Amino acid sequence: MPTFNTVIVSTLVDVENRLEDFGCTRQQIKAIGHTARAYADDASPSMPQNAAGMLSYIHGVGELRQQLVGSDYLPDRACGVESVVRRDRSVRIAFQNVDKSCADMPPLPRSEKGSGAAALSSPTLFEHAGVEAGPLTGVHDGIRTYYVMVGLDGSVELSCPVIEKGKYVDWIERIYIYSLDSDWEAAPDTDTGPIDDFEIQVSFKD
Amino acid sequence: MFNSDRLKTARERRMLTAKGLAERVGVSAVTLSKYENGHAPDEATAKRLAMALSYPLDFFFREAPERIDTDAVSFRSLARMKAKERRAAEAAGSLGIELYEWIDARFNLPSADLIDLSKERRRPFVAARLLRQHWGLGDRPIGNVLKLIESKGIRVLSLSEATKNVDAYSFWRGEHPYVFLNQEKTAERSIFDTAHELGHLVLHHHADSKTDKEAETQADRFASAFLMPESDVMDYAHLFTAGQIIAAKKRWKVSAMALAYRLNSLGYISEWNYRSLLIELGKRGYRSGEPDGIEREVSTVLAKVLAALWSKGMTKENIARDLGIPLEEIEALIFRLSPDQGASLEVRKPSLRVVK
Repeated sequence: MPTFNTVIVSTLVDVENRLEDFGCTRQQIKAIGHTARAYADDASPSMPQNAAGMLSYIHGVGELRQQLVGSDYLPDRACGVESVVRRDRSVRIAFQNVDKSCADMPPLPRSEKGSGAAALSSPTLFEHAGVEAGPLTGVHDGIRTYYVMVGLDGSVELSCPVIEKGKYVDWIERIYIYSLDSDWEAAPDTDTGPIDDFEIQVSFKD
Repeated sequence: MFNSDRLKTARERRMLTAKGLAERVGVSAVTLSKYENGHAPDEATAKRLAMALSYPLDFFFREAPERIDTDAVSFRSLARMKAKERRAAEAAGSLGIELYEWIDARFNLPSADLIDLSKERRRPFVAARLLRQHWGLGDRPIGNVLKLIESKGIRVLSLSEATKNVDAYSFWRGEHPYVFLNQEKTAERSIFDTAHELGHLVLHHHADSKTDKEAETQADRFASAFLMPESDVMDYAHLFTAGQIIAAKKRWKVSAMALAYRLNSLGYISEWNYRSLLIELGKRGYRSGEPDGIEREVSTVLAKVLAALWSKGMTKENIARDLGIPLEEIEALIFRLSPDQGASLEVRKPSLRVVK
């Protein structure tokens, strides 16, 4: 049994502050999710049945790199997991399609995780936290691996799961990026929203 | 006294040739030509003319109509438009001016607040920014473009031309700018037409748009920049699939094609991506229409006028009778509005009461 609690970062201010540790912004992670969902929507009935998930994954990974690769993040394929890595902050970010993000129930991946992903799910950190993380199945470089998890409804979270036997068995941290239900996302931004309160006075002449 | 110009206006509205009308009335084409050049018909023929044109007889015995100066009119879709379609639309303009002058005589209306940007017509995007600055709009999307321009004193009327060859047109008459919008277009297209005509009014006020071959392109570029300011679109620079464009376009109330064009012109999507988008949007029906479109914008000023008249027991029939214009022509000019639409636009102030 794990001896730690999952860190859940869910308020807008906390999320933005936490993302500064990663050297990225909420808009960047949100854009990855939106691009992935937009491509999933482009799947047509004539395509293979898993086209939506594949398109989402392919373009999700592409957008992840478009958004983050630069002077700090580099493309990475450790253990066969397509990702980006920032070594000075010891963080790796990959992409994952899930059922739903930012919900009370943790996300379920829509495809089984391979041994590479399991290997990257940081056993040394779990040891540090007193967690029994199971046998080491791959090469681990001590860098914590997060996933941009994009739900079927377009919800997005940036989370660090513990992976065992192809499944998420626990969670170190969950950072809520975008949810259709969350109040701070749904609240209209009065500074940038459409303007239409134009006054028109029409009155009878005396 | 029978007015020959009014005969011409009515005939053009009905898209009849002089020969066609002559046949309906049972006179020769030469005779009809004389009627249109100042020779008054006898009473019986005048009645037959009125009946053939479905116009009240009274219409032909009023003062000369407000014929618009066709050289000063900016038309969209000029290339595809047939001469009779153009004349019919211009004749609607004459009736529209008469209608607005009837309203102007009875109501206090917003006065024109436009600036002359003809010096910037080679840089329409600059003109769009200057006009936004003048009106204090910042870079926010405009929730109701028609209401905005009416609040700035532009007189907007509708055209119900049963042709897609006439989009919209605009002109200045004295100190009053006019815009006529065809209601056959999609709501998104109509909004773009509104901004396009606004472009003509500020860019080509003192510069004849007909002699400037670039005028239509300039007005299009003005409309694109005015509706979708670069600093607002910048936040959406990551849009590059058809699905994303369709989801995002509602922010600016533009067509998917117009948003794709804007993203391409700003360099946010490549030429190849743009062409792919056009093909994909075309396949999804966004070339010929706008699936899942927005609600059409209608005139706020005219709705308020109708509501105010209604409160005094006057209706559209009274206007039609006063002007001697068929009711259906009035309906076509006023977006087929009803008085209750104007009443619902009135801002209802909360009533105050003493709390003990």
